[in-house]
Amino acid sequence: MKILIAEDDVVILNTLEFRLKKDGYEVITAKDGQEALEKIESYHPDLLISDIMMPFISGLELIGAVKEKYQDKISIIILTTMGQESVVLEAFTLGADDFITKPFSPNELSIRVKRFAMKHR
Amino acid sequence: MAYFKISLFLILGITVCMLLFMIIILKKKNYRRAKYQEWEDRINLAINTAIFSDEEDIINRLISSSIIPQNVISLMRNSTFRKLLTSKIVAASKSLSGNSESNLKKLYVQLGLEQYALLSLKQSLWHIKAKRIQEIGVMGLQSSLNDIKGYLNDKNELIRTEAQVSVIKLTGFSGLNFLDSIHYKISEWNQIILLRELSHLPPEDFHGMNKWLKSDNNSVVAFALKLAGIYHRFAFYNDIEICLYHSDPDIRFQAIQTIAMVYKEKTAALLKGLFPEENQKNKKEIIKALKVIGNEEDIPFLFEIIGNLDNEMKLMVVDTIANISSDGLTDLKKIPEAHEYPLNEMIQQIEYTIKQ
Repeated sequence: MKILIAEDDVVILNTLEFRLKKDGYEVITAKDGQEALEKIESYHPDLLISDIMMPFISGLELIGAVKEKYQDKISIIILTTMGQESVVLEAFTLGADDFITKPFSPNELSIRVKRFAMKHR
Repeated sequence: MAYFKISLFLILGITVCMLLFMIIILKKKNYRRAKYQEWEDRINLAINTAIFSDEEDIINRLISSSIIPQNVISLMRNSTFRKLLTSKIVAASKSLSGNSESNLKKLYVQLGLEQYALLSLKQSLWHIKAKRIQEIGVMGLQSSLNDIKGYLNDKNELIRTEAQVSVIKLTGFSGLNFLDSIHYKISEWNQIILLRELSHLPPEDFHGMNKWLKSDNNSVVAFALKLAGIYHRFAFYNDIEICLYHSDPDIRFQAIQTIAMVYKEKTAALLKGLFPEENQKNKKEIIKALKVIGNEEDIPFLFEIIGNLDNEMKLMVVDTIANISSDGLTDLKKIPEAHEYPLNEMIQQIEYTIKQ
């Protein structure tokens, strides 16, 4: 399964990349929404893990763009911070499939991703 | 001619000097940028390795795999490197939990960053102090708790807020004890930040409510009322009721909101009794409260007041009537004013909303 991670915090981006590569997934990374959109076009990932607050194109805009073009071909997990319930609701309205709240454990994310991997098979 | 030659040499000399100066500055800038980038890459790698480390001595693991240099402790004396490293560890700690977070805390302590944070507390610049207090809270440095307690009543609001949040992070609900002795006003924003911090904690019993509800500091009373409402402290109903008669209208406003969250059978009657003497803002709040806690018995009161209210409050009353009684709107239509503008339009609008 191909996973694209869009996150502007390099430390978190590298952490997730390391963890998911260790789990055996093919991982592509993007540091902002614009780069993520470009990489979606070139790599056609099966799962997008995206932060909400990102430069150029926000996570919500990214979800909207991806779901409009790819519908259910790309599943989306969003990363939010605590207290952003309204943002989570908006993300679900736009088509996000799951969410994870910061602070989170990389192991927790790994388990969530496994669920999508099983669905993908 | 000689004068011209001297001028020419002078101009040329100055130009060459300026060019040399610019080249040196640019070189220095590029060197610094490259050094900074190298540090950043090294720090990112170190943090990532630390996050997934199984070993207790994380520093040793990072040095043995050459991720950080042998002389890392001496490098820590460089304030730019230290600030970059600290900010990255703190930012990552805010986003991660579980083992990853505890590994980052270990890394922070093993690098001796706690000592630097405590030293920075002695700085006179308020923003540095506030940042370090926040750092102590995020990194869970229990041993520094007493050092930040001294700032709970600081004259600078941002330092004070950071200290209050950090104490709550470190000690949970018992950290609210600062409310016993705070002299300064807790601003609305400060209250929101504190409530947000508390919302991350599992609810538990906390002591001091009766003292806070009677505090001389009005902002403490307002905050205690919010706590009583959010955490449903029914035991303090009588103290909350006393606040309905407070001299400060903002406290009364908060008391109306809170009492509607811990209401008893007689609460609606109590609020109705206060209605005529209250200001506009608090009258609106009483109508909102009746929408939640009211019943059929409150309909005559609402019919009685509806004629003397402004349009905004009239609409609120119509909405409340529709919410608390199934026949409320039908009965309302029987009063003569209900067939006149604007009440007729309001009734139609609420009926339409109910149908929707």
